[in-house]
Amino acid sequence: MKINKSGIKKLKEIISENDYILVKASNAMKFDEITKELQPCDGEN
Amino acid sequence: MKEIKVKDIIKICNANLICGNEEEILENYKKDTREIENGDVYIGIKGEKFNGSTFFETAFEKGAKACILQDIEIDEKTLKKYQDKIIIIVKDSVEALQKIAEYKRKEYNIPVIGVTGSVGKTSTKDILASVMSKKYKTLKTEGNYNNHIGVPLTILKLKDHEAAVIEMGMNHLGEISKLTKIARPTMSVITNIGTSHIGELGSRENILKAKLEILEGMEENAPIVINNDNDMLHDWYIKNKDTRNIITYGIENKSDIMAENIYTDDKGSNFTVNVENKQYKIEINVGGKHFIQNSLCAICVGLKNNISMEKIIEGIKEFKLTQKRMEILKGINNSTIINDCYNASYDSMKAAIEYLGELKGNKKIAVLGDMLELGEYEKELHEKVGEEIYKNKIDILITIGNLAKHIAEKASKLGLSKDKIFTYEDKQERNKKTQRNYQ
Repeated sequence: MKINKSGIKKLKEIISENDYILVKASNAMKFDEITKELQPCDGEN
Repeated sequence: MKEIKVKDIIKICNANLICGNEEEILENYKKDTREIENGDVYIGIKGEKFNGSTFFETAFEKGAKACILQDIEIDEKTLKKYQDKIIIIVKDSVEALQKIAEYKRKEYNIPVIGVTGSVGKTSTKDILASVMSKKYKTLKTEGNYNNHIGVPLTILKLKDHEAAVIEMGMNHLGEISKLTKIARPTMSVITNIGTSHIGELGSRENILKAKLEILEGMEENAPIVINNDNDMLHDWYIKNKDTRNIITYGIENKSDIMAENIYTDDKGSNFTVNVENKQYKIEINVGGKHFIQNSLCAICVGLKNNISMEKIIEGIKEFKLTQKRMEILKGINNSTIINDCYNASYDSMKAAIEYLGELKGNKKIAVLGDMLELGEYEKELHEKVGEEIYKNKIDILITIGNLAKHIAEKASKLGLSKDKIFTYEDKQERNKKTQRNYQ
């Protein structure tokens, strides 16, 4: 199960300072990619 | 350390030794050839798709000293190749593993804490082990080793341990009954009765029944620790308090160990407890009400095992969560991610959403996936998650999956603004993109 690229883009647009994002699913749904996408790359933030 | 010799296994399992010395001591049992190290014992488990016993040569090549196998023919030439090794043939390798573990367990007169429940088993097990290890050398279940194979493999890791904390999972009736008879807990914990595996078990009453099977492996008056805030466990406590040795913990219902003056945020929680008319402040490095309950459970277990309050407090404070369980990560734009992707049941969803709702931040965003194995209850329980989203004033909801869309539908129905909801369904299953903004 994957959120598509436009979904990730939308999510990134929504997220602003001091937001809390709960990412919750079963391991089987492989949400690792989403969590990774929402973390800053080195040097960001 | 209590030793198990080849001859013991032959006797316990009614097995056939086809090569090797029966006086050899066997320890370090593994079911995966990738984990084999020098001197280990490989157990070839027969699964639906393949028979692990066929990999015995790989196990020997990686240094295994012995292999316990089933349903396999070994020709003379191969047997000659491994004549300095030990090969034991059993009728059923899982059954053999369980019998060896049962034998091993009986050799140890130590406190063994059995942990079960619909959600929170693993984090409770970890916090209990953290507290128990303040006084005893403690063995605990690692990873997801909580089933009919994992529990015996954990028991077989007992060496010079002075205590063990064993997690027991199940997805059908009769499973915990088997596990508890192997682990023989001196004390047990039931964290809660929720809806995980309700698709298989049919009702919460049956889930309670399945969890209570843990008592079958315990002495009649051995203590059982329960979360008294859970409706079903509370009812069970009321009916059985005069005949069973039950210890209760809770935040809402009057319990033996209760939390008061609770404060929780994304960095952690603190609260106070009264023990023998003395008030103690407890700090946890993880936020969320359910971790307060886990800590209360650890206090009950610690006190019952003669650990001082000072040591219990230390053990709770040192507890760290494993990855993907309410893991706090730094997010883009100075946001905070709560990564809770290890598993998802209605109860754990509810707890996580309540926690998100309590945080003092800018926006609260929930990205939720499908909950699995709910059978006929799948729509209803996803809708109930939608109710939690609305009730806990979550600002933005993103659902991913064909079942998770029911969360979005319910939240929308209750009044969460449609431009705050985004759903993504499974492209492969539906064969089309159905991204939909409710606007």
